[in-house]
Amino acid sequence: MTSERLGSTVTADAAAGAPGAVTPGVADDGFEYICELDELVPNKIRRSAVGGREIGVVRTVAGVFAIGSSCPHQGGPMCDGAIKGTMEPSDRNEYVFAQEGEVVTCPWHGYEFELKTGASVGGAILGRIGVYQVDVRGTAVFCSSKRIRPQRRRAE
Amino acid sequence: MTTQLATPAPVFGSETTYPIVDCDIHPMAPSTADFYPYLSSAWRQHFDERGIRTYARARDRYNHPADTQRLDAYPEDGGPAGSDPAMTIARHLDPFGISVALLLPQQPYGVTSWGDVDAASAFISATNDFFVEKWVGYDERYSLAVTVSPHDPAAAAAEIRRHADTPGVIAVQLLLMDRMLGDTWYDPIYEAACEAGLPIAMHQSGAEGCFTYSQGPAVGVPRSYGERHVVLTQVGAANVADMVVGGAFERFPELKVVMVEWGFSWLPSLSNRLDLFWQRDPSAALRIKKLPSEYIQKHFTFTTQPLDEVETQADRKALFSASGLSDMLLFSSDYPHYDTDDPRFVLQNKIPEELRAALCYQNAVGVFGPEILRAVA
Repeated sequence: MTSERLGSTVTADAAAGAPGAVTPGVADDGFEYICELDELVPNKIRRSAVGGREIGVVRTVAGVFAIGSSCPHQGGPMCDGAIKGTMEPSDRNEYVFAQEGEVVTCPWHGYEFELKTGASVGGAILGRIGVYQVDVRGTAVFCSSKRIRPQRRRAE
Repeated sequence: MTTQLATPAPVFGSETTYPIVDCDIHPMAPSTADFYPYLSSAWRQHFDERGIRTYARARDRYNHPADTQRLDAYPEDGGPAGSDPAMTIARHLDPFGISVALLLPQQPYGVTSWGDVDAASAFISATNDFFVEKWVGYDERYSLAVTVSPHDPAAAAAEIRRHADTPGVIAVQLLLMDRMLGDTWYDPIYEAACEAGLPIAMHQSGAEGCFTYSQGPAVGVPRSYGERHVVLTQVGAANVADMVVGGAFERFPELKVVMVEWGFSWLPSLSNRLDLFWQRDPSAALRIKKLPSEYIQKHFTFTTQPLDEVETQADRKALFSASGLSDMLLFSSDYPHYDTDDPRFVLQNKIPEELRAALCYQNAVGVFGPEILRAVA
């Protein structure tokens, strides 16, 4: 059931509440049950305990994502953050808004992070937030406690 | 599966017993109507008819890119960030073991743009009474800087004397309008503060550069919130220089001034240049009799937030190495504002170990007196 996707795109079936034979708890593959998909209020980060650590699970227009609860800057509580898009680098006096639903901001200083990779948008700071694999199984949302490691760039 | 907030570990671990004095916390009343019980019926009617403008502030001119408040500081049942004393304890004082929280109310800041002198005095008095009862009376860790405005120095002095013996009042929050702090206009206020044994706390009101009679950053109008935030330190630096050269500390040798949120990394340069100016041309500053840096070291303290985010150990060492600085810095978080400094992050990672006791409480006790530790067993 797990895939290599970063975050999980909500399928039409799942969003419509298709019945799934899911038992809350820990699945054989180590993914833990979080909640039913329709319990996730759009753009509201749900605090969950997965593998003994606090993880925030959120459903946005871009999918369902799971993030670590601490900002790498000063430790701000990312589960209180806001879901947004971002202004992409552009020419002077030109504003390009993009990535709607793919960005979370720290509730303290407003640093932006990509929900898919945990990376700081635009490389504003060196650190990144934790991101975890989410899987929507039928109507249920599951999350892995294993942090997705950043992909290393291959040598050119 | 939903969990409660994880409880952070103590800032210094269990073996350390430093009390932490946080010299910049902003409480709010849920709404201006909450001040009404502390106004006379005539003033209630006045404000009911005309409204109360609590902002003449940066937000009128510069839109913040995100939010000026920490998103985790808004009460769940509504109201502005920082408007619930229990929540500030649960989210900030308890988790970090903060023993003293210096409260600097913001709602009076808007009066800096008011023309009505009497209305300004009446409103400010009501806010002081509100915060004494609802916050200082709520928990012994809460200590208040009572607010006064320079509209009418005699009225401000009377307000200071009214609270001189109020338990938990540890400072005077003086608002800044058109006159710089070295002006003798302020003398009645300084006199009352010295008489009451209260230091002056000077915090930016957000109104700087936002209306005709406000003091703004030097030269021109910044283009954005961020640019303004960076250059706002100029207002603080200019007023430090003006107080010294204007002779305020010759007239009031016991006067103490706490500069809150104005930065401090500019101070070594300012002190050095002031000394040089005075040595070369003492007749241009007839109101002072010593090196300007001596007045600064004796009379001023500076809060740490927002601490410059230097990246190397050498830069960090340089930030704190200026002569006399170790006796002049006070820890502050600026809770619940967006540019907050997290106590654990700053005290563990950024403040040199040899300065921690001084910045956590020793310097604060030196300025505010040992009675501020009333909540410490």
